[in-house]
Amino acid sequence: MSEPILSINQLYTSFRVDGETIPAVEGIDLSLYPGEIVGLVGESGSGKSVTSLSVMQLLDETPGEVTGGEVLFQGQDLLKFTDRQKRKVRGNDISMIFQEPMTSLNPVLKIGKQLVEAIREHQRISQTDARKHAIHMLNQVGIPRSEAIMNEYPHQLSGGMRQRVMIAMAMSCDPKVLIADEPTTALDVTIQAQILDVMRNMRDQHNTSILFITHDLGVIAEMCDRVAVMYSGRIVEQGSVYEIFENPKHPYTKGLLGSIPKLGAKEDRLDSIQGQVPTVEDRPKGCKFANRCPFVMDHCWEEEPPLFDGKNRCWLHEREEATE
Amino acid sequence: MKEPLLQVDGLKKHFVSQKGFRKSSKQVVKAVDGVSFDINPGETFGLVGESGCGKSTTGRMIMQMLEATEGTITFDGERLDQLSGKALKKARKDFQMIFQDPYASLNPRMTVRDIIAEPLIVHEMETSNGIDRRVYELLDTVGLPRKVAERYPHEFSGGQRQRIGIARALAVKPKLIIADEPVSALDVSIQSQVLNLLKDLQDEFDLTYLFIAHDLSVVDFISDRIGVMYLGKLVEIGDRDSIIQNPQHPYTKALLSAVPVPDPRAKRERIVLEGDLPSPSNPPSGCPFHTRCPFAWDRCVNETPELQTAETTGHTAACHLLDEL
Ligand SMILES: Nc1ncnc2c1ncn2[C@@H]1O[C@H](COP(=O)(O)OP(=O)(O)O)[C@@H](O)[C@H]1O
Ligand SMILES: Nc1ncnc2c1ncn2[C@@H]1O[C@H](COP(=O)(O)OP(=O)(O)O)[C@@H](O)[C@H]1O
Ligand SMILES: [Mg+2]
Ligand SMILES: [Mg+2]
Repeated sequence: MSEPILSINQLYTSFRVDGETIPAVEGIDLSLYPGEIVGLVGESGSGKSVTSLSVMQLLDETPGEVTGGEVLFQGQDLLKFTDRQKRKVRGNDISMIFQEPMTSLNPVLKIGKQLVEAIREHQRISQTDARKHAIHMLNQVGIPRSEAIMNEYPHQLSGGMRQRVMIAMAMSCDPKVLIADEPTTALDVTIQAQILDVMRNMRDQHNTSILFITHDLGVIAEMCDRVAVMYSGRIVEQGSVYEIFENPKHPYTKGLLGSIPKLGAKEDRLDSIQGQVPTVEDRPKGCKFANRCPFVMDHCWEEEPPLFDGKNRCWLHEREEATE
Repeated sequence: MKEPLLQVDGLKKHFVSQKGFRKSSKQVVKAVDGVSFDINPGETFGLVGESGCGKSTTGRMIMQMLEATEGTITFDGERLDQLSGKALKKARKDFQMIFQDPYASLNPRMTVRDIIAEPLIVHEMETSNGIDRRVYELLDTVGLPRKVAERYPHEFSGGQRQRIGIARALAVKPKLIIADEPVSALDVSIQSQVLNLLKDLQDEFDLTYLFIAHDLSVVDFISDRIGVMYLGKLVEIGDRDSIIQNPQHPYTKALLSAVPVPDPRAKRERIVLEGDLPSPSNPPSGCPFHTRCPFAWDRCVNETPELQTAETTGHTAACHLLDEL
């Protein structure tokens, strides 16, 4: 097997709020191999965005800080890069798209100008060639009237179009890694379907590795090769998309899958998860899911389970391993 | 045959706004453009469609929060659109609303007790002694501990706030509840709790629901019948299973095919729609869907299709190619 292109090892990130330290990500391990789409799924506040911002080193404008671990890109620790090195990597080797493209597009610059600038920042090509490349990229992501759109401003486009422009921009430098944080969450399903198609093509044609962050298990099942499930700042289970959906081990993963209504299933009730995500102060000492887990045992309250087999953070699984 | 509890007939809402600087140029947004449906007592009618298709506007007209441009709304045998003053206030007791963002709909300066008690006082339903008892009863019903009565909305999570909103809606023992995207802002584990609760309450109190949402899987789960909206019009109506298993309108088919399903082996034949939703201020001629429909032909451009019953399924859809595709 090839080497991972990106590997996150024991990443810790926390926020300083009113003199207190709030842990947001606590010891994440996650690898991304070339051409692979890995899904990071979990409910709001579980730490998905903080993970992606830590990898991209975009925490500067927040009270957040990476306090431990490493993020290896092709074997080199991004966390140790100088500002100049970071800028070079960002947009060139690793690109990111966010949920709301309006925040990452400049409202007063025409689409074409923004694309050309982004391309020329990372590639030494002429204005004319950059413009040609930009139009090519817009066509690639399925934007009709691409030449006309070069001369329009972001607010003149619909949400779906803006998200496509963002993808075109993210792809324009042919990055090796794309980090997409809820890229389709704000969009209607028919537009989401178009965007997911574009991203899949990108992987197929350019062998781009994608870290796909979403709370939507349907999107995960459709897009990803492997999946990591986050809860309270930790990855509680990871595996191939088939393992996660067909044979989930962690009670939280099972609970999530039971919670979603399935089209055409004619269910009377949903198997929901009791209670709610605890606040940081209220997190149980042992397993963070203990207070909501239908299988909780005494031991779960006391000691946090490790990631057994690198796959599953649950004491039940340890017992299973022992009896196998 | 039971009388429908709610009958909506030819409902329209055209928002008129000024366009540009010249006084004469008006822009008309046809948010809802001729919508008709019935809801039977005890039934859940799901209204589904993508954002901007007119679902909330429809709900607000039925709630009498917005005046209809045209059309009639008959509730429990009474023409709501003709009521006003005291008579409307009296009728209002029987239909209540639950909103997507419970936070925006709960007064931040009121305690949970006062929020839930307010409709009881407005409708003079309880003596002051009775009110406390009723508030506790309602908290029990929606699964909140009684001690939360003295707390304020900001102290609660989204799911708990939605429960407070539901308790308030239930307070006056309504017959109909209009729920506009009540679970869209919630995480899936909480969403499932609230959906189960809504089903339980329906059984317990014989409630009728108009359930508005953009998420087809949610609408499929909760509804007995479903209406699919596109650009201010209902393009298909029918029994839940018939719509989900046997969609007739090309838009419904595309919408269903676009829903991501949590099964990595699902084989799907996706109908990818071209382009974006047209603007309701400048809707296409003929069939509103013709600009994105893979089957559109001349007639679709020129003539608006009416809802007709499909021979194969017995439910209705508005398509010139009905029974031919
Ligand atoms: N700017 C911030 N300031 C303080 N705390 C933050 C900030 N951003 C995130 N957090 C904390 O990090 C946790 C994880 O947030 P996030 O990664 O955004 O979750 P999600 O999984 O929804 O993307 C939150 O619960 C919050 O406590
Ligand atoms: N007060 C208003 N003035 C003008 N246009 C409006 C108003 N309210 C809604 N609209 C427009 O009416 C259309 C339908 O809106 P809405 O009913 O909120 O859709 P949905 O709930 O299906 O997302 C949209 O194009 C929206 O912009
Ligand atoms: Mg996030
Ligand atoms: Mg709405």
